[in-house]
Amino acid sequence: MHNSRPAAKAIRYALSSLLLTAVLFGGALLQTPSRAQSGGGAQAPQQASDASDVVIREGFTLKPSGLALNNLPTARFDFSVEKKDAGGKSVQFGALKASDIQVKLDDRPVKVSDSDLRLTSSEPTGVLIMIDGSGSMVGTKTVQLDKLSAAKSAVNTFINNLGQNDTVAIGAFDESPYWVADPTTNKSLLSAAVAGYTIDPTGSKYTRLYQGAETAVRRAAEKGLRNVILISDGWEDSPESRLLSGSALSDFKSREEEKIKALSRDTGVRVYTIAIGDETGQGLAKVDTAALSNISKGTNGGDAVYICIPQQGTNDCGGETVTQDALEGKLKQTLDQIRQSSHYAYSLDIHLDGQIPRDATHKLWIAPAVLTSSSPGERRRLQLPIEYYFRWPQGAHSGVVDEERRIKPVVFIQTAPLTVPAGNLALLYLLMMMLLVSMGVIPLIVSRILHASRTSGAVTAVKARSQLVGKTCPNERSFGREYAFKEGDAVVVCPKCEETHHLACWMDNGQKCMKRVCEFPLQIPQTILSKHGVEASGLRTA
Amino acid sequence: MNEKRRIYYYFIFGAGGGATGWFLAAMLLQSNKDAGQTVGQQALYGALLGALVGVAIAAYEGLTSRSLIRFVKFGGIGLALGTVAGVLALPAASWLYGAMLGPTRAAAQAAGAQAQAPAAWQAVLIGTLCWLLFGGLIGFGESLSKGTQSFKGLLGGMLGGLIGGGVYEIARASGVTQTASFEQQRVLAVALAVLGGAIGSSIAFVTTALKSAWFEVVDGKFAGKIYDVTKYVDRKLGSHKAGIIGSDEWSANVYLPPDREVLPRHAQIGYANGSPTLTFFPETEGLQSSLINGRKASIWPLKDGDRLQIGSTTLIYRHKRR
Repeated sequence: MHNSRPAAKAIRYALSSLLLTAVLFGGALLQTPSRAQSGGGAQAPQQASDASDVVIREGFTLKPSGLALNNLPTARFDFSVEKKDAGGKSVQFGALKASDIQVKLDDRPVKVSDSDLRLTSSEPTGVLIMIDGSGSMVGTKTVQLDKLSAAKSAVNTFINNLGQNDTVAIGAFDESPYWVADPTTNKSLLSAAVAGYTIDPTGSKYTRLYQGAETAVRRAAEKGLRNVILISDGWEDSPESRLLSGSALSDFKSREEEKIKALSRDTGVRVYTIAIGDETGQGLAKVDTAALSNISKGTNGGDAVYICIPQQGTNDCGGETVTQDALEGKLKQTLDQIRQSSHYAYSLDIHLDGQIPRDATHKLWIAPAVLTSSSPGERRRLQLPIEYYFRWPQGAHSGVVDEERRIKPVVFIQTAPLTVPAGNLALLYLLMMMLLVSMGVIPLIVSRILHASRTSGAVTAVKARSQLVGKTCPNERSFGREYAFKEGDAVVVCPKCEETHHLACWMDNGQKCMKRVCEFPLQIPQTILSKHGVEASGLRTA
Repeated sequence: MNEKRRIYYYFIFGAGGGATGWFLAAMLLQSNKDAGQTVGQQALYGALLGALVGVAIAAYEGLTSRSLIRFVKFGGIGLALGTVAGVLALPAASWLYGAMLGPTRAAAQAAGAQAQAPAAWQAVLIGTLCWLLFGGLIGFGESLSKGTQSFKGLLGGMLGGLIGGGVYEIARASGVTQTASFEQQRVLAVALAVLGGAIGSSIAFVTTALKSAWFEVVDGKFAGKIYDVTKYVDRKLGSHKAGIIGSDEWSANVYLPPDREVLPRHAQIGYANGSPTLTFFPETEGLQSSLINGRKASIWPLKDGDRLQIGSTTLIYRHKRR
């Protein structure tokens, strides 16, 4: 009865052990790094990330230039991966393959193929700078700052910071667009063109902002330039717009903006915009930040950079006044940020599911990975993830990025792929196990052989002329010579101290020597006992 | 002699577990080109290794007592705790490597500073610390339901983790464990076998060296076997929980081969009235061969050299003087 209980317990125990093991193994199998990093499904961003917070790990940095959403359901991610060299200088990492990039939309993997990734670092950066040439740029009664001078100085610095092969063209617009400098890599020519550019404040009656932007995009595409920087201090002021107001004006502006976005979709040209002025100001002091933002957002240039200059006599821009130097400094800083952003090494086309629910927030997780190697024993894989939260409004061609969130890079220790044939591994394992089994079994065999030889040598029958005859066993020594050894007695000679015992006495003493100082144990096999007619208990058989 | 044999066989069994863990991990995981890159795969690798080292070491008890139930019981504990040990230790090592190999910082703070790669000794140190955890948990599992205190198993396992893990980490840091060639696989296999063996033998060594009371089987089917009963005769532990002597394969702490004269729960050893005490259960009253030093007794204050006869098994109680 008592045997069934432990058996049942054992079965229960084995099952629970297996279950626990399965859970642990299963959990281990299911856990993936992306789950660990990106958490649950798409959710509204809870805190704004600091775009300037570039995360560096092992000297590597992911530098995103932005997520282009004006061609949904195909998104484009422009980025660079930089590595600091021994001198601390950043150099482009140009060895990425499509298979190194993981993409997930709302935690569902998105396939990336080789044709989706384009290396653009070999292409020089091309920028067309389009400056508002209306009279207000050189100062007005209500805003006396010379915005053109500040812009010219900032553009000059921008040109000087470009690479040797970077191409720049300069244009301007008022009643119509025109070109100040054709695309060139010659910085002297460009600087001279910028220096010589002036505005006649009374020369133009209108400011055709949309036409200027559209022509700039078209021209940039024709000349192979990827970026347009549009600097303006005004708003669309044309004969057409002057006739409109209210919703009619809004519709007109929307149509014009859509034309620019469509052109950008077709050409891939990105427009960055800088608005200088007072968005709540009146007349010549007013800048249309909304229109400029719509243009840049719709062409993947992000929000317009707004440099607020208050209309005189107002408390706009938080009551702060802006000096000529401050304006120039801000413009330089802005242009430098755009310069950095316009340099990217890779363009990745991401083909998202055509059924993306409109108006909902989606999470796009993009994780390029680079292999770094510190020891030949293993490879380390560094994943540089980034997340974008975006919406695709109903009826719109473009999506809207609500937030860009940098994620802490992760290092994975990666074992190199197995190149040893499985058969060789199995053979190695077999050899190892044979060695271990031998190491386990051989000592047992040797021990048995030694024991057998000891036993066979130790147990003997006393012969007629043996020196043992007449000697006594320690068990019967107190009885004098009554039980002295005689011919035919089976005796055991202790292998250690050589004391001689009757075999029966040896067995009776628990199969060990009777001398207190020795007590050497020696198991006597049943075959030897039978041969000498002695039982295991020490009794003699009849 | 038997103690040395036990230490030796614990090494053999542990090494077998380590080698089997290496082989299964190599076959299951490394044929995948992305193997080893995720936390999950690290955990799976650790689980395989831990489970097999744990079960192999624990299996020794089942084999030497020739009992399937005891094999399942101790093997199950070894399997479960070995798995936990591996699941925790390897991803922890991987995570710590990751955390150390590239400190994360904001660019503003970095201000052009180069991320520092750690020295090889730091990587070895991190790895070895995680193997300490790995070995410790396996040792802890090995001491459960036995006569030795759990801390001794833990200590033994940690010592094994330190030695074997150190060997493994040094091999890894030297770059010879890369899995791309047969030569390197061989080094990896041997390193993991040494790790398993070191954990096994260290557990046996520490528990043996630190034992202070034990039964030595001098006659019977298990002649030569030694049962550590230190925990049961300890002044504190022994007064709370006694060790069971009997033929119950599941619950006996000193397991005797079943015969007509041995009950599943025959006697118990504990600490009572100021000394280690052996108490025969009342059911043994009618049995002839339940003797202590050749006499019948129901309660006996044990002292070194006492000879206990239960059925066909004779045991001698040994107690180290401190």
